[in-house]
Amino acid sequence: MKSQYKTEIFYNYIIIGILLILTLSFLLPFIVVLSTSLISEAEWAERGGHVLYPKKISFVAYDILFGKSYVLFNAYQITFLRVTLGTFCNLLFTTTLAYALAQRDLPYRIPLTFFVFFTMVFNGGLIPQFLLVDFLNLRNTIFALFVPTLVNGWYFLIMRNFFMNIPKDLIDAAIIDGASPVRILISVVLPLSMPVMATIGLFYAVYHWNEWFYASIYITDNQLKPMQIILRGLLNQATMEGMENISFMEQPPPGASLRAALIIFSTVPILVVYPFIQRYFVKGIMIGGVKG
Amino acid sequence: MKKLISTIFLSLVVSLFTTSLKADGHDFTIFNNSGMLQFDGGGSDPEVLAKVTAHVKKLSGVTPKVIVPNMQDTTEQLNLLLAGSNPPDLFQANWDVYKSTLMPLNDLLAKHGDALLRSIPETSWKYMTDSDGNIMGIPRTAATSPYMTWVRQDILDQAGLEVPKTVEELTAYMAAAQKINPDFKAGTRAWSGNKWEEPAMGFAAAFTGAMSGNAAFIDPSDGRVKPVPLAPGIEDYLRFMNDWHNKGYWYPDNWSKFDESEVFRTCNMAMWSGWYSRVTIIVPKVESNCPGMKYVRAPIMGSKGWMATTRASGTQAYVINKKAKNPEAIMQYLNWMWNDQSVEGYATGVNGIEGDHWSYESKGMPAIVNTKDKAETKYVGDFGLPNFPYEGNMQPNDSLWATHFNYLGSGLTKLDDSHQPIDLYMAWDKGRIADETPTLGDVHRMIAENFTAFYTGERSIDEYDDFLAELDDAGMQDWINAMTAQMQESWAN
Amino acid sequence: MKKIWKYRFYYYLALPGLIYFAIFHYVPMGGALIAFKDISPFDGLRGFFDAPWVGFKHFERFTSSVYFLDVIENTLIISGLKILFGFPAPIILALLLNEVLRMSLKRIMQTISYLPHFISWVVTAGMITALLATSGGLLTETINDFTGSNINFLGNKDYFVGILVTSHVWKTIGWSSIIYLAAMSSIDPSLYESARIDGANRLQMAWHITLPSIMFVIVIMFLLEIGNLLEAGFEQILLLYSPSVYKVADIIDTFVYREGLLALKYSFAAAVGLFKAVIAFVLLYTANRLANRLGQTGLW
Repeated sequence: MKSQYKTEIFYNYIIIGILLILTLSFLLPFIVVLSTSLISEAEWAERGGHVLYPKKISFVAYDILFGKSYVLFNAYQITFLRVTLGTFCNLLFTTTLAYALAQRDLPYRIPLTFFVFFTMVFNGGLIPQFLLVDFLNLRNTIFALFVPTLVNGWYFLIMRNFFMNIPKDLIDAAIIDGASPVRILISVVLPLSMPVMATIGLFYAVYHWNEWFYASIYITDNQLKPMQIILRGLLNQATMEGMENISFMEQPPPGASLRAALIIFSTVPILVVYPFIQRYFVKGIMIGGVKG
Repeated sequence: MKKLISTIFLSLVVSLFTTSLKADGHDFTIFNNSGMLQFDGGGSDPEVLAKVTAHVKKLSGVTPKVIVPNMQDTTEQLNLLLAGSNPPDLFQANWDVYKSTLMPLNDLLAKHGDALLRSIPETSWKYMTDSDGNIMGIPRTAATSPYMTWVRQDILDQAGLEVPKTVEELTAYMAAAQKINPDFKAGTRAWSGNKWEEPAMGFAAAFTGAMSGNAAFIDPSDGRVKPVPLAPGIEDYLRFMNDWHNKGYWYPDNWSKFDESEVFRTCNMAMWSGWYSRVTIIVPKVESNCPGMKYVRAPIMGSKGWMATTRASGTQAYVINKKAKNPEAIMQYLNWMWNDQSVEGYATGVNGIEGDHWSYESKGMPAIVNTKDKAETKYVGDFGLPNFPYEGNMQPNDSLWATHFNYLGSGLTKLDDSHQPIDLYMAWDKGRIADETPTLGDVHRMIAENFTAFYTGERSIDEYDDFLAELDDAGMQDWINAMTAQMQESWAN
Repeated sequence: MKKIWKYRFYYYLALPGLIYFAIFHYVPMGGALIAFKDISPFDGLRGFFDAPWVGFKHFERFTSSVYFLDVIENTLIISGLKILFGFPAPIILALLLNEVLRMSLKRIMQTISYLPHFISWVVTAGMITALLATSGGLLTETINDFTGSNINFLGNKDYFVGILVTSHVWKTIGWSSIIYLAAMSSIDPSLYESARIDGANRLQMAWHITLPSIMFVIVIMFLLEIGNLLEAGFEQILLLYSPSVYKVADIIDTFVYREGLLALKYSFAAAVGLFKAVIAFVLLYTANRLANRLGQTGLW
């Protein structure tokens, strides 16, 4: 018994050792980004755009960022609206579709799944999509930011497979108890599916948080532009390629530290939110315990 | 939760109504993809913008509505906007590519464009006319010499050398520089963006006398237009590049990836041959780190002529959509923007309201103006339409940018020490060349890939004839035919 | 019919999602036909209908390129290596994290592991360039100190694909592991308890309980990778490659991108897109049949 305990400890150390090395390799570049965001132009000239720690902390890059507050604040609100409303609708439509098509003996289940699958491979390209959104008068509305991407095919399939993997006896038991399909969905399936709901929700939310391409083609009204469009503009400013445009260089491109600050600015909110989502992974375990 | 959702929906409905009610009485729309706003995706502060709009209306008599582009490369957004409902009326584009959707400007210019016709030089207008004599746009650029060679005065002084004037003197300079410090190397950017008229290729002009906007020359033996790999003397050029590579003069990264500002920062860049703004913008920022470092412009003459090549002004232009409902108002606006008597329109468009956002240091042409930081004025220049041939008329009173702005006037447009290509005043229809040369992409890739291999010695220059045969297999003759046909048509006109 | 009525509730549930796919995916799908036309995009719908039919011209343009086979080969090699290393990596990471008993440690490590997902490719490429620059690059200089040879990694055909695969794994491993961790957290703990009583050690439990229990996610994620076999990572490669390494790094998407720089080639891009889609469809269809035959729940 004691020797088994020892190997257990040894095993723990090895796992933690491997994970620590990996963690370090993820963390160090991020620390470099964070430090770089805190250096001044003069320190960059001396030490370059990739430093492990700033010698003298300077908020110049963040000053430039918040110098845009007159448009950034509004854009932040749009992004917040997009993330909440978008993720909610994404989850609603994905879950309903996935749950329906997870019913193994649903007539026409396979053709209907194929109907969705086909769109994951074939698409009409950007121009027809744009013309459709234009035709539906969705351009320059908040709906353009999430309705055209309401259900992601792969997320639908992942979620459907999770639903199909729920032990059948649990659902049968509920049916014997006389529960209606709505009741089964709400009180049996959904609580058991919190981990996957949280994960897919996170994927959708991060998509909405980061997405700029569709926003930039559907939105021309400055008041409806999400944060990423403002940030992309600043990123262009900080990227050398922008300087090839011959004539117009009004402001000095602040380069490395601004680029880094943009990363920090758009990552930290998700880092703050993540622990709340992580809880659901643990909850899943507890419910699993209860049901057994 | 319920409350949150209902609040969100309510605010949505409200925002929808307010946007649809905002149908404002503007005369035309500008998609301002001029480069002015590519860093300012969100545009100006809405309140400030409203004030500037009223001010512009007062001064110019018209009310434009500005669409601020969302991407740095605005082509995609422009194409989609043009395809959708309510396309923009005024935008910047290469008129030859967009010709089918544009309005000829001859009558409009004659009627409302007097001041702007005067303020943009004759040479830039040459590219704006199609084969039927229609003026399709208002020039955006001028002929420049943007890829230049710079050496360091401090190194010259230490080595007791003069500014090099020939390829041999340049080689002697690099040898001397490396004797002083083995880390001193020469930088250039070979193939950025996979484009083709690039600085390393620019060296070829000194050995062949053959470089142009389409990297072409006229072969005197048969009068056909051919690409640079066929130019007599090209092997000398490749030997020169390879010789420098073997001696370790070049940064090896020149042929792969290169973060120029990081390399300038090391103070070891003994020579830079490439885009001018690296010296006019990056160097002032790193000078504090490198005491004594000073770059001087070194125009180099080779056996066949200047090393640098003049970049033609091209077909980049401000153009008007043929669907525009109010073209006269647009021309009126442009005539105000690029007026030859006063910079009022231009300065207002770029900087905002005189007095509030900027002021004259001295009036006249050129005018010097005091500007404020954009973060302070909250106006980013939505109405401003920068135009290279005109921009010099308004100079900001700002020392940080003095080097850069001085160079725009004195160095960038100095063309007498660069090679003048055969097609300097000819607008290639690049779309047509690509259509008539189905494998043009292959030919380009083959040249880029093999020239790089010749530079580094990965492929021996003795195999040059094999390489030319490969180019023929890849479809180079189609390209020659397409270019020759266009050149002959252009001469016929 | 009666059966359909019995299941009506589920059809009502599915209807909104299906309508969405019909409108936003099937309606614009006709646009793929521009692959057989010569369109200029500016004229909107009219331009689309009026454009002349050109048959397989754009496909032939692609297949007749002297680099056609090269580009396909590179795409498959890069993508294949990314799957080979990048697909198991997040599963292994999730298994390792699952073995960490201290909840707080597990949470912190997991959060850190997906940081790279948020560092854009522009910045990642900047860091890679800085690490590998021949003058002043941290890694290059270190190697130089030890071996005395100065290697231009990003310009070297032997190293380039390795750099692509490594940076891909580094960037995606943490984020991709989330879905596996979610699957692991739904495993019934009583399974582990009974195994422990039977004397199984942790490695055996991971192999016999954890892995089979998350197999349904592994299968779907693997199918996803198969569907993306022809997507070898456009942005990453565009930011890092150069003519020195075209031979090994030029993929379908960078090829199309360069063609687009020469002229507006919407029809050409559409043709290549369709070409890729057909291949992806065949691959997925086959892989799915295979998965079904092995008794797994695949795509349908």
